[in-house]
Amino acid sequence: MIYWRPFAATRPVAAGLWPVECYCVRMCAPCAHLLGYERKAGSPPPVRPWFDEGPLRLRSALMDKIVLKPLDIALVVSYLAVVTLLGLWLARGIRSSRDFFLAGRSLPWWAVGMSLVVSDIGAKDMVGLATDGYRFGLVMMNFDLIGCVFPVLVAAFLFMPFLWMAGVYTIPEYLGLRYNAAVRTFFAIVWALFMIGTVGVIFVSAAVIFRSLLGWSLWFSIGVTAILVGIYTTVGGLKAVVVTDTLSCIVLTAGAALICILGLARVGGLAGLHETVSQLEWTEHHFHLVLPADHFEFPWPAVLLGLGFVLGPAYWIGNQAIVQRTLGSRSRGQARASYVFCAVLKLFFPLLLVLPGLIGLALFHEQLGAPFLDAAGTPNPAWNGDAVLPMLIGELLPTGVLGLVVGAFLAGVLSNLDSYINSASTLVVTDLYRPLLPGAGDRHYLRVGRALVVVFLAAGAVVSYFVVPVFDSVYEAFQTFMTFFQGPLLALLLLGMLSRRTTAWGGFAGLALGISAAGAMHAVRFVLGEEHKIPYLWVAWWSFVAAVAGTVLVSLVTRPYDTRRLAGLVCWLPAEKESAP
Amino acid sequence: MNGLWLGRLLPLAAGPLMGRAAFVGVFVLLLIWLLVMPRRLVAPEGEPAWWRSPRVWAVAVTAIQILVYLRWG
Repeated sequence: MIYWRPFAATRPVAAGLWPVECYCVRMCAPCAHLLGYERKAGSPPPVRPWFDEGPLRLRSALMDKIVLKPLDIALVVSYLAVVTLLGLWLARGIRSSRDFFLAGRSLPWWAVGMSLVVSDIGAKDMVGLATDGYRFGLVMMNFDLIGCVFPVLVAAFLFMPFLWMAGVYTIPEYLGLRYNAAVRTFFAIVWALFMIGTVGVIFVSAAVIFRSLLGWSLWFSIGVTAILVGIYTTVGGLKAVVVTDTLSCIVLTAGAALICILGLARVGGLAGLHETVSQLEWTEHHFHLVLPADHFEFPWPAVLLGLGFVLGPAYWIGNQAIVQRTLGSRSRGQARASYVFCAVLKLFFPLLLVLPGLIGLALFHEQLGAPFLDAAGTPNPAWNGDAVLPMLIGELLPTGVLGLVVGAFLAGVLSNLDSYINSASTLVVTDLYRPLLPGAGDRHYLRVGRALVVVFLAAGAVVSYFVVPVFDSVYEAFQTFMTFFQGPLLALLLLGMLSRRTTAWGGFAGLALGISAAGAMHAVRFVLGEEHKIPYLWVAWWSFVAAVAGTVLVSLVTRPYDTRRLAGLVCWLPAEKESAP
Repeated sequence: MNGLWLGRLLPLAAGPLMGRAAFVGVFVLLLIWLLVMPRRLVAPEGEPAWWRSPRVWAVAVTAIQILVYLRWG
């Protein structure tokens, strides 16, 4: 998801504020033994100190209320079994790399649309959006409303049918055809690195949540998720990923809706929620989507320009993990319909993900307090925002329903992880391996693609080992890393698709200028101090503007491509012979 | 510096009313584009029934977005 958590939200809580010996799940002895716990009467299970004492603790006094009953466990196990078996069943008929990477271009619009939604939402987003719903209120819905629905609707009619017709497997492949091989290789490497990092981050964020909900240790959690995802992604490819995602979408929606419904019932409905939250001193803007232009975190011009015009479109048009499932649609019309269906679903998801934060605020503001010390947004170090959603779960959900919600978390993790793993494999085979070793035969590429799924899962696990002690820094570093490239990537994609006049030299200049501009803006905080840090939304916007300016100016003074070469690569120049079936 | 890059250039931008108008304006422009978009971009394969038309659904989603920003902007 393009949703980024402001860094201060995840600072370590003040020492001693939350009880260290507080465990959220009570397991039977065999289960505890299976998970590696050695329980003694009256003592908590042992945990690895470097995992347990890190900045990601999700504990509160309420969390020991979360007790999984047999019905809950049965629901979770059933869900995992169904997902795995479904994925394995879908492996039938995978005979070529096209079947594996693009599902043989057989996916229906509704499955792609649902898969788009859940690929965008990870477990960390579920916890993080509830946390920031508590801190900032409805403004967080902009990440879906202006950051998703707007670019998705534009892409549905302008870009996705066009990319489908181009017959490409990846976005860097398109950039290579439109510009040159250097641009293709550059973005393929950038995305591959980002995806490995993302897989590591998904592993850790999932482990933290499962630690809180199920008592799983870090490596047990990584092992379970990696094996499950590895099984069906390795054998079933994109089709298994998309079909299991549709199941995940249903479970995720049901789980999130249950939290909202039960939470609203507890706080007296929407009217009661509004009344309780409005009475607090620091919630002046909590029921507004548009905040003042001088707001310390989400000034509206930055949200509109940076999120709506750059990060959102770059994510929904340029992110391989998102776009790939659409390229696997049955037809151009189905590719278009899948994006529109995604926009329809995305009308509801911001409410399902942000509303729990507001409900948590109404219910727990006395225990958790205010996240800021003053109106300038100085973080309150004693505030533990990550506890909002676990506290809600512990407080609201009865047996059976709890199993469904834990299943929803699992759904978020699996769908997020399988999408990135599958796309990383596709990207490396298509844009790095195949150009290095052309003519090796389709079955060879299929085998390499499957092997890479395992390699990426292993690489993600290795990254997670290093990520754990400095999780927030690494998470922020990965997101910062991408702000260098999102603006220039979008500029190259848009200008490449929309204008025949854009040249390879223009693209190179835009890329260099955009990345330089992003680097300079990031450097401000180091040169002038942290208080002069430029919000990342502004970095995205201005690096995009710089990339557009560089591309246009240099393209105008360099020789344009022959129109025949651009047929099928520019929106207004249809291919003489369409490459797609 | 925090978030006021554009605000300094456009003093009016500091007001939340201006912000709401900007967000609504974006979706109004999108709505107009969806309505006037040539048919070859919407349904080159042939116009489906209205309830299966991506254009109709896209227009409905955009209209809801406009109402959401007008109400909670």
